[in-house]
Amino acid sequence: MEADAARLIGAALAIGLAAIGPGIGIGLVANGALQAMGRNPEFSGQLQTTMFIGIVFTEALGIFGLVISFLIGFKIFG
Amino acid sequence: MSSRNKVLLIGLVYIGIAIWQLNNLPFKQTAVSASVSVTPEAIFVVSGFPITNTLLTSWIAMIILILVAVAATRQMKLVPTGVQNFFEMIIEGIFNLAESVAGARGRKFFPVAATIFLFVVISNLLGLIPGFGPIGLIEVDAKHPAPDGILTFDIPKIFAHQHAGILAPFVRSPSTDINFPLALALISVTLTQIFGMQALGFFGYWGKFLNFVRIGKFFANALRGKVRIGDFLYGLLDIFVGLIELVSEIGKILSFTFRLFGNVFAGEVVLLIMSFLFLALPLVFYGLEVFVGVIQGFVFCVLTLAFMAIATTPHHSEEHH
Repeated sequence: MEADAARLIGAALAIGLAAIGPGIGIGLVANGALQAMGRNPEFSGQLQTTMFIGIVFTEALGIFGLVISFLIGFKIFG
Repeated sequence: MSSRNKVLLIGLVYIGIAIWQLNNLPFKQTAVSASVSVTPEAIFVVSGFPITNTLLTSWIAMIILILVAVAATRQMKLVPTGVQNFFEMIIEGIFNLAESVAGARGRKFFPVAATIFLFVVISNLLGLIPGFGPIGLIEVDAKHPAPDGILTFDIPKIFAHQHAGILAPFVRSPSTDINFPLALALISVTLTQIFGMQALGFFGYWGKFLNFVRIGKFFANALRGKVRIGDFLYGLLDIFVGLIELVSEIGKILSFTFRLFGNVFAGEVVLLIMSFLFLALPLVFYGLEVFVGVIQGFVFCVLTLAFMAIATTPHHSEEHH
């Protein structure tokens, strides 16, 4: 059972640590987009699309962590 | 009867059936252990090729798209109404997006991007329909009897290769199978290369990745006796940047794949776990998952458009220096 315990801790750590960076990053992206929208509301539509692309690139890192977490948790590789 | 009353009536009938079923189940409603599996389950095998539940659902999504397209364009009118109006709105939205991202070339990328958007959104939303996932077969044999309170079917021989005791849903969201996002990502990235080659020519396009222009110039000058060390260093830099671009093309496939797979699969797991926690909590996350499903389709479409726009833009690095 010890190997299982280590596996679960590994899976939890994988997503837990991977969520920190993207969390900060998405906050920064939204911060920038909101400031720009506040100063220049007529460009909101364009800014929103770009903001979503920015968020998605940032979020991808978190998703990678999540996938790795699944891989570890479900014992897919080894 | 007005359409509002019709909706109300259908809702009431649905709730009634649900309540009646809860009281008259042919089996006890005791715990079915929830199953989460990354690999899709094979429903049946056609001459050695396993038809998985995710493949089946992607076929359903295709059929829905085809039927809807036929229904929307069957009686086309200049001033659209009803179904045609709705779909013209969606198509026009994607078209405007393509033109705003890629300019005039957006017309060319539009069919690919729109297909990806519609297919991903429909298949993501299909996976959220109640009944997708939990309805399936539970495999049992002599050694592994069915858990208490579960209705069992006689299992065909073709399931013999699978171990007993798993719930094999008949239908399951395609994006929860990593092959579906991978296939879309490969299509998107391959088409990006093809469009890039069409726009810039074979050497013009691949010259971005294998950039030997400046280092070639250095050697040509060196043979004539003019050794310019700056050209040599910039040439090395060009090669290095080109290699990074090449790696990032492969990275695109990975990020497309894992983004869609991770978001949708995580959503399904979250919904499953939330349904065991609190009565109304799944509803909140259900709304979130509907949003995520649409956003992921949108993002896949926008990124495809953006990458195609970048790939078809000529790079004038030589002219700047």
